[in-house]
Amino acid sequence: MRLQSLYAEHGPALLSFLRRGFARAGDAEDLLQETFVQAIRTPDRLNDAASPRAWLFAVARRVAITAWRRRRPQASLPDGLAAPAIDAGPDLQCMRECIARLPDLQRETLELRLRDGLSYEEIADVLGIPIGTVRSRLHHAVKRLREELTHEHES
Amino acid sequence: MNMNPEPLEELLIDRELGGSSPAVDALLDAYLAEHEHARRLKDSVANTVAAARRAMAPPSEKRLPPFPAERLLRERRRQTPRTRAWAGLALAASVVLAFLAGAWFERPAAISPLAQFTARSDNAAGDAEPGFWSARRWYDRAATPPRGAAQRVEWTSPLKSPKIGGST
Repeated sequence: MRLQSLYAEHGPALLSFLRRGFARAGDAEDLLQETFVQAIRTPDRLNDAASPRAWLFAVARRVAITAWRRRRPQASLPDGLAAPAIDAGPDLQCMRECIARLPDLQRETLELRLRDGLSYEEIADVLGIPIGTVRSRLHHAVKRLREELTHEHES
Repeated sequence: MNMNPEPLEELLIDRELGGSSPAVDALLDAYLAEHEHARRLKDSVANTVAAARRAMAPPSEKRLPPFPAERLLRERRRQTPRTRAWAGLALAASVVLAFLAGAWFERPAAISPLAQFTARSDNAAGDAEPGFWSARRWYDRAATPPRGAAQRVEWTSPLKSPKIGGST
C-alpha cells in the first residue's frame, strides 16, 4: 500500500513538524493520523502531486491549523518554535532566541528549509506561495539572523 | 568589477541553503576567488546558516504511532456509498438534461415570413415523426383522447334500443 510506505517514509518528519508548531492544537499523533485520513479522501491529488512529501506537509499544515482554530477560535496561530530539551551552548541559545524573534512567516519558511529539509519548490507548494516569495523570505530571515549575531558578538 | 553587497549576499544565502543552480555557483566561485570582501561575507553567511541549522536540528522521532490502517479502511468504506449516490444522481441529471435538450430542439422557432411561406408549401413533407425525447410527442399524446372516449351511446327515444358506437 503506497500510503503505508509514505507514512513510514515521511511520518517522522511530519510528526516533528506537527509537534513543533501545533502541539497545543491537539495531540500531534492524532493530527498525523488525521493528515493521512485526509490524504485517503483525495487519492487523485496525492497521485498527481509533483512531490508527495510537500503535499503531505501542506495537508498536515491545513489539518493542524483547522484543529487550532476549532480549539481556540479567537487565538492567533502558534509561535512555532518549541525549544528542544537538549543542552545548548551560549551561541546556540543565542541563535534560538534570534530565530524566535523572526516574523512568523520568515521563521516558518526557514524551518521548512533547515529543519524539514524541503526544497524551495516544495516550500512554495506547502505554503501556497510563489517560489520568489519563498526565496525572499529566506533572504530576509538569514540577513536578519546574521545582523543580530554580528551585533551580539560585537556587544 | 565589484558586485553590490545586497545581491551578492542573497546569492550566497541561496547557495548555503541549496537553492542555487550549478551555473550560478560556478560564477560565484569565480567571483569569490578574486574578491576578499566577498569571501568574508560568504564565511559570515555560512556560519549563520550553520548555526541556524544546528539550532533547528530536529529531535529524532523514534516513537512513530502505528499506521492507522483501520481508520483509513473505515474512511474508504464510508466513501463508497457516497460515490454510488453521486453516480445515481448523475444518471438522473443526464436523463433530465436529455429531455430538456429534446424539448429545446423541438420548440417552435422564430422564423422569417419568407421561411414561413416556404415551410407552408412543404407542409406535407414536414410532418415527420417526432423523436422519442421530443416534447411534441408528449403534447400529441396528451391531446389524443383515450380510446374509450371515441365511442358514445346514442339513445334518441326510450322506444328504441340504444346504439353503441360512432365517432364523436
